[in-house]
Amino acid sequence: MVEDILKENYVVIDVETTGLNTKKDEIIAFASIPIKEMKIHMDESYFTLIKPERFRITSIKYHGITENDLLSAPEFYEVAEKIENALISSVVVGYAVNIDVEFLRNAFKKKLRKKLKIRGYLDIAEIEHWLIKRRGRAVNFKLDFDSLLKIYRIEKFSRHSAMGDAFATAYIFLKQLSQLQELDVSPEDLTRFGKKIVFF
Amino acid sequence: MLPPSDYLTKIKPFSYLDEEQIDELIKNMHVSLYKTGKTVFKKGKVLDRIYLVRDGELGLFDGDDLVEVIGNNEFTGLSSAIKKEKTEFEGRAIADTICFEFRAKDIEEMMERNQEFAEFIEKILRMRFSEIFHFEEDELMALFSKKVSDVIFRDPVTCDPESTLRDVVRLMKENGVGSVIITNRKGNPVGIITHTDVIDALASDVPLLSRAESVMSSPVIAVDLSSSLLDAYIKFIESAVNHLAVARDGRLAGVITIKDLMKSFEPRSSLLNYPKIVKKIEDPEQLEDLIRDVLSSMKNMLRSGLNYETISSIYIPVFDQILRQILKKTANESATVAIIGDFGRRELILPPVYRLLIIDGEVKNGNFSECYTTVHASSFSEEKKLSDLVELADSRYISGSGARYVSFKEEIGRIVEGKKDEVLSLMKKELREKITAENCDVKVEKIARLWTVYNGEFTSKTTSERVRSMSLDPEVISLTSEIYSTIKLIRLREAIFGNRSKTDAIILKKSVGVIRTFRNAVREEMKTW
Repeated sequence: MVEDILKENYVVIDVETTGLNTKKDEIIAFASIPIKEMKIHMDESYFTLIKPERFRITSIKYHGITENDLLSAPEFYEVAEKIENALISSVVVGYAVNIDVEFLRNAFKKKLRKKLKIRGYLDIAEIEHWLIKRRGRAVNFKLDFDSLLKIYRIEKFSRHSAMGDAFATAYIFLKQLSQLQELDVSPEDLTRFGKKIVFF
Repeated sequence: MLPPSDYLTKIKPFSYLDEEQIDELIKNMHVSLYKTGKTVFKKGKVLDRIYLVRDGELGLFDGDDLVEVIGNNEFTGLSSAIKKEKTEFEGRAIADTICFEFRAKDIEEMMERNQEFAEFIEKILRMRFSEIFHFEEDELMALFSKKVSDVIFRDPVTCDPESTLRDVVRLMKENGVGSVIITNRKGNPVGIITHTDVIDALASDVPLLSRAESVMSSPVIAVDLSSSLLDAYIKFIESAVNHLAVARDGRLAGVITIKDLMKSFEPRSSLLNYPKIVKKIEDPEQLEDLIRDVLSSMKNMLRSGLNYETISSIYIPVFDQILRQILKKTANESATVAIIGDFGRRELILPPVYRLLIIDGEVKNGNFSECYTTVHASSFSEEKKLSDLVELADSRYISGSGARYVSFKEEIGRIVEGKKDEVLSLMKKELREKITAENCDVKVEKIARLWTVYNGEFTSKTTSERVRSMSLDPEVISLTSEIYSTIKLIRLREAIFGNRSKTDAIILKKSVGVIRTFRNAVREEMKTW
């Protein structure tokens, strides 16, 4: 682990799924954007649609991806290596990222009988929660993705696509990193409170 | 559609790109957060990316001097990244700043594929200090470059010359318009009757059965459908009317009213009220108020990014109008007056003090002495210094007998034409003199004037027009005329805001070099004369 949180490599991810059940539902889109030394590298970002074994029409309203869109998409095993490479050397960052990580772990286990190695993960809602409390204030509102967008004034970015959400998440995380560094937060501290799961 | 494209489509020049093209730029974009004080790029480097400030403030530094601040939605680094020139300044974050950074290679490729995008960027690159050019969407510029055809939506209401005043009034009522155009059999406009004309006619007991042609004002002042709103604006001010006929290919196509224009100009419509106010000026106090108003409206213009020539063409008609009004009070019946100096060339200077040439008659200074200085033509005999005569090339008519003015100017033109050798030695003397930040604009004015006069032209033109007509290296010409305009803008800004900004000081300093290059080019060219 590096000493300075700004020197760490991060990768922001977002997945779209056929539903919310991490055991039964499947990943249909994956997006990742690396952040190195306070720089979002769109040129090293990765996005793919993934053909599920079983599509659930009802989930379209969440992600806008139709079964038709997925017809020519690769299956999970075809993109697994790329996904693994995207994650392998970085700390994973996301919103409700524990769910995304669980979907990924289950997919690797079920479809490839393989354990996905993840160095650690950080949730931007957790970080924000910590930052607000650190400033001596109470979190007396729902700290969901939309409020995070509002806090960081980025409602203009297009939402509800894996890449759009990943970019917004990366942008928020960049600004959070800057604040965390000013508060002298170490990478160990960050991983500790960054993945604690608080239910609102 | 990739994430920040909604945002980018609102920013020039990305607004010229389609979704797919924007996505291609975003694909290779970097988004960086620079902590306060962090260097974004060094001075003297060729950049491989251009920087769009998404959030924060980026300072351009010359050593420890802050030259300029690049704020939200503004760019920097373009001239270095595209022209492969070394950066003139160091970029440093003066607040925590997030930049969107686009690859120079991608921008270049997009310039090849999208003409509007390329034109916009090239326009900026042609500017000498494109690094500190602000990319703000310029409302005012957009407004003035709108076409008359974007604003008019009414077909003209017309009648023939034999119609009666009563017919005209009915036509106005039925069509809900404020003016009727009188056309001849061929359909060409011969006159116009406006609401005001009707009221004036009725007030002076003109019978309702009088023929339209006896009431109408003519000729009809017209603008072309494809003219810009700026052209229409200038016509309104110059002719102090409320209605203009709109022509398409020389034929009547509609009417544009000052109200139509005002609607587009909100909330800047005050500019259009001047002609009315000017007409009512009676005493110096009212004049002072008006001039203060006009000058304060200029503040926004100067901040807007409009160029010097445009600002001059917006304000010269207003000041001319004021001058005409004053001359009505101060010039006697036999007076023929011309404008010389900067205002003669239609170049705005501040404070707005005209130099007037009294060809015949008399102009009192009276209560309006701060508006102009006068010189009498009687002092311009053959013995007068040639340098003074050459300056009369800048003169243009303002009031009195037009014919008298023309014959006077022709006479001076002939005298000067007969002394070409002396013009040449004046030029040589001029070229020997020192060029400084304080006199460089005046030097360009003098050199350009002497050049055109030597080449047989004795008409009033702006300095930029004169420079552009000189047979020199096109690169030198475009740079000189651009720098000249910039210097003149700096002079206006100084007069209005009362100080010189750091950027302006640097530009002035660097301008001297450009003007010297211009002078050297003139010297070289003169060897062939």
